[in-house]
Amino acid sequence: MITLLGAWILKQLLTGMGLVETVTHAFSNLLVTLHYGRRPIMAVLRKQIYFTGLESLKIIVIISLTIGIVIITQIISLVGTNETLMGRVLVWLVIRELGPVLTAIIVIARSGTAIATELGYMKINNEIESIEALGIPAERYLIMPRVIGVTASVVILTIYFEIAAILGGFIVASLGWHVSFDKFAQSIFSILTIKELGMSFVKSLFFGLFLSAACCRNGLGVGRSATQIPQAATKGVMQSLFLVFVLDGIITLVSLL
Amino acid sequence: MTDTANDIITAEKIAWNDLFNDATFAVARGSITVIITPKEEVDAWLVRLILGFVETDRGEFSIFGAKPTSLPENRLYELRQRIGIVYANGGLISNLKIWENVTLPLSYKGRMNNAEMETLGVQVLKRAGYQGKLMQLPGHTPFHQKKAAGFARAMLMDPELMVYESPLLGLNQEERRAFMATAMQFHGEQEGRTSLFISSNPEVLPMLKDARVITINQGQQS
Repeated sequence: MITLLGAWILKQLLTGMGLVETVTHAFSNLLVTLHYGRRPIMAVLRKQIYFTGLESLKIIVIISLTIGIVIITQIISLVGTNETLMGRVLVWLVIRELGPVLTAIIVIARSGTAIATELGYMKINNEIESIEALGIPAERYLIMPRVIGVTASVVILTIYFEIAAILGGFIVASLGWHVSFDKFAQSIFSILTIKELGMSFVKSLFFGLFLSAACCRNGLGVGRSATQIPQAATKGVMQSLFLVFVLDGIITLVSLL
Repeated sequence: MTDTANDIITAEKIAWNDLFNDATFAVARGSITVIITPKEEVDAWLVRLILGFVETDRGEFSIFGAKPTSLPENRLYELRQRIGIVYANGGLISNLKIWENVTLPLSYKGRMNNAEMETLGVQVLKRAGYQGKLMQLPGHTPFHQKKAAGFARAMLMDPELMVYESPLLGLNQEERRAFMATAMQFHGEQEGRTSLFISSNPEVLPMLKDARVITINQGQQS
């Protein structure tokens, strides 16, 4: 039992180290790209931001508006119209936790699977070798723009998520229980500090970096069989979800120290 | 052996699986050479060997005076930029449009502006016999047109060594003639350019009358 647990921990550590390596390589490649190969790599980066950031925006806004509405409705059903509590709970739940976590989950479901599948398909069709044969490092051309693009998208989508959730909360409070904007805004801003916003930013940054790295690595891990592509996508998604929750716990704990 | 040596590729007693043993050959700089292989999979393997993706089971292999698999990463990429590969299936990237595929190496090097790239790209595509749409994905393109786009991409790299993997595969008689004629014309355009045709189909030989022929039979080489 202990041996199995040890083996599992060791495997997770090795996977974690591999992901850290992918992320650090992405940043070092970003610096190299400023001097060499900028045009095609920036084109891949723009496409990634378009697919992950812009195309997910609609679904993120709809989900976050609904979440804001649900939270405020639950608060009112539990404790009545209490503007101070509404603000506090929205900040605690949405800014600290739900914003970064749910945004990451939506991005994993939408773009994580797409990245792992696309890279897996490219691998079995020898397209990665075709890129390398042109003298273009695949890690610089394929991985770096995906990691940076997904991370930038997660950070920005998290901001949209949080704004839309608070807006959804205000709409339901205002229409249903006639809470004024001033009181609602005051209750939010009285509790909202730089620390809350910083934590939300740090979480979304780390989630973006590690979920994209996990999906890229799993996609590139496909061997020679097409049946490995869906397996890679599933593994990428599960690993990303696991990482998001583990990182969420670690960052929350560290922020309390 | 140095990069200035007369032979651009040297192979000494190389072996791979049971498909061939102790194959020894050299490809001279500036020459047109044909390697006739026992099977199509050997064509693909030799291309991967030239590019440093695989190693031989036995023997010594070098290109431009270096063993590709022992080169540091940066030098290996520099070496690959000196080689143009025309893959049997075109070797196109499925998520890039034909135009993006063809101009990818030029755009990566960044030595040309968009207008220059456009003029040169259109010219070379026409020359390679590409007649399809420029802004469509390779998935919607016929096989021989993918091959033409891959040929155009390799020509745009202006390589010292041009390698043709299974050049006749997927082409009809007329397309074969046009393809080989363009390949010969491209070879003659730059002094010292080497053209290496790797094919398991001996029908390539009558189309390359002045070429040096190396035959690798199953199990041995002649």
